[in-house]
Amino acid sequence: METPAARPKNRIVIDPITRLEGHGKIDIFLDDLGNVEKAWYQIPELRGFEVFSLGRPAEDMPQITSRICGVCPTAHHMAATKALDDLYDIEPPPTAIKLRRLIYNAFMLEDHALHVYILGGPDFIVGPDAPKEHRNVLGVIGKVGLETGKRVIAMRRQLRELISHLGGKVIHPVFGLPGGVAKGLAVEELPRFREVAKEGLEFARFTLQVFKDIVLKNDNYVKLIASDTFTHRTYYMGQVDTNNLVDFYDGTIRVVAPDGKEYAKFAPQNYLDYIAEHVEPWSYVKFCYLKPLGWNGFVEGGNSSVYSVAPLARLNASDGMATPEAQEAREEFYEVLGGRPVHHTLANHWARVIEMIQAAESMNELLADPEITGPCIRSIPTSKPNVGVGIVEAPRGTLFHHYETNEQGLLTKVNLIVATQNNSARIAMSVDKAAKGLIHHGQVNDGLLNMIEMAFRAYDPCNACATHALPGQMPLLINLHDHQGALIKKISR
Amino acid sequence: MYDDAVGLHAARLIRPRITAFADVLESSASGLDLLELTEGYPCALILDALTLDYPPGTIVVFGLDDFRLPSSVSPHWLSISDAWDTARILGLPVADEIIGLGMQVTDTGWIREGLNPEVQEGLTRFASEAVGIVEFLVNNRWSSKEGLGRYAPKIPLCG
Repeated sequence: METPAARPKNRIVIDPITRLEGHGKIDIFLDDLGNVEKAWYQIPELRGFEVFSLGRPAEDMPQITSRICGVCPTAHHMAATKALDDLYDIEPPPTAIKLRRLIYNAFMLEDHALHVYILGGPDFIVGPDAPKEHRNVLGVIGKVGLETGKRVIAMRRQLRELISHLGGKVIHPVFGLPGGVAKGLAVEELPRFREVAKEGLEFARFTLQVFKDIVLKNDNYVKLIASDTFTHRTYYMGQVDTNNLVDFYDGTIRVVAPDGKEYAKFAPQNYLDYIAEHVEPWSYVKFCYLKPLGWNGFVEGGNSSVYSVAPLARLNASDGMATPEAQEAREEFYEVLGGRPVHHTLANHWARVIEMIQAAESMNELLADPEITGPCIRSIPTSKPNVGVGIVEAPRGTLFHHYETNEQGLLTKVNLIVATQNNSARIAMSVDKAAKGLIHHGQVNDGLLNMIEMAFRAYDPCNACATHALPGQMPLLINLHDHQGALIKKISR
Repeated sequence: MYDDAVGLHAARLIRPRITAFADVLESSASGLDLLELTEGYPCALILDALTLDYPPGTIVVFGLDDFRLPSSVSPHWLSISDAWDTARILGLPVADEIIGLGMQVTDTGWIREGLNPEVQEGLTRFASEAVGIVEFLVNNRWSSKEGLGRYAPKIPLCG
């Protein structure tokens, strides 16, 4: 829908009319030649959560925070559970850790599959130049075939059934407890779980082949991935194990610089020494940056303090994948794209597929471990609560949960940094760069707008985590302003 | 949490009134996951918060065509229409018909308990309209193809 704005022609604004909250908004400012001077992308921020949480029992947080997002509730649930482990200073028994890892890897596989085929698919399976009416999930099915479409849905359903079996519910699991989990895995349930895990690995392998056949064999798309329009040289953050391998569930946080060298490595409890938030007057979202470097603006390269999270960042911040086939896929990834680190934002899609393989391999490894059906699934906390930090790698990036309580376990302070917030500065830079590279002389069309959207779609931003209001989605609005700042075009998507 | 839970509040109000001929499910799922809940049913009525430009408390009926978007921006934003089309093409037994009944709310960006007073005030009406639609559908064999009568799509019912 286009709403022509009153002249003079100065400014193009994309905004859901008077409501900023809960909507993605892009403002594009043109210079007097009609080229992009600056583009701002605003991500809606969840408000009031910290206040809402105060005075509540910390043990409620795995249930409360899983309701922040209907797409990644398991990530919040797991981060909250780990924060409770830390709060009560309790170490779960090995079986519980393995069960948590099993559920978490099932979730990562399922969520990544959803993104690859439904979100990212229209961009790289159908292609950015495809007609608008084909750039959707139906276009993806048209390209990969009905049987593949059915396979995606069936795989997701099976994985969600596994999560539901152990977690009670998929959308709002009731699985994690401080010191362990609520339900164990019975020996008689193993065959079913192993069957799904095996199919999951086959599916992940298949997805990588689809990606290679449709994307990597398409020279135009490979050029697009490597183009400067979609490239930023920033820092990268991800969670790694003791060998610096990608670990979705637990580990230390590692940051590498734009040149790939390790910049920092820290325990979750020390995150505030490394992450700070910057506020811009034009945005209601805070931009995360590396605190020791200070805020240097939306810049990249040597002077940057901006970092990125999510699949590409996880691969860049690590020295390898934790499972053999994923490692092999990773090696090919870096060989094709010129070595580590890779700065091409659209490579997130490829990295995501590699992570699907690790998630599936990990599931198979865990289910082959006899300890997974062990009887001891919880250690009972005995310490008085104080401060707890829990971090997981959500599909969209590093997720931080930080709780402080009184001695009765009632919350006195809550801080959450969701994955998309970690990426907010880089997303803003991506939109700005894409707009500058694509819009010239004030000419804007649907194809160009789609290319700009590709710049932030690769991050899979979680813009509407808290809401599921009708018509079922949060619209993205684009405002175009001329060189005097006047609104000249308004486009809602 | 807060106004975006108005659908859940309404569902709890109407459950005892229609339990004889309809199942009332509560969910915060979206897209394909939401549609999975409709499998095996001929028709589904979705109650939810509305974030358009109507005055708070306005109640609006939607059909699937009202949810169509030109492109998908995120899995969070997969329109229910796209999801339904996908499900049908893949042969999933989702409901033949999806009707949305939304109430305009004030703010879905804050996490709070309860509802905004204007939304709270309209909750009973919202529930009653939902019951009216269900009764209509029951009388018309779970199809709105004969027309919803006064429940014309995208016309505010009251507010």
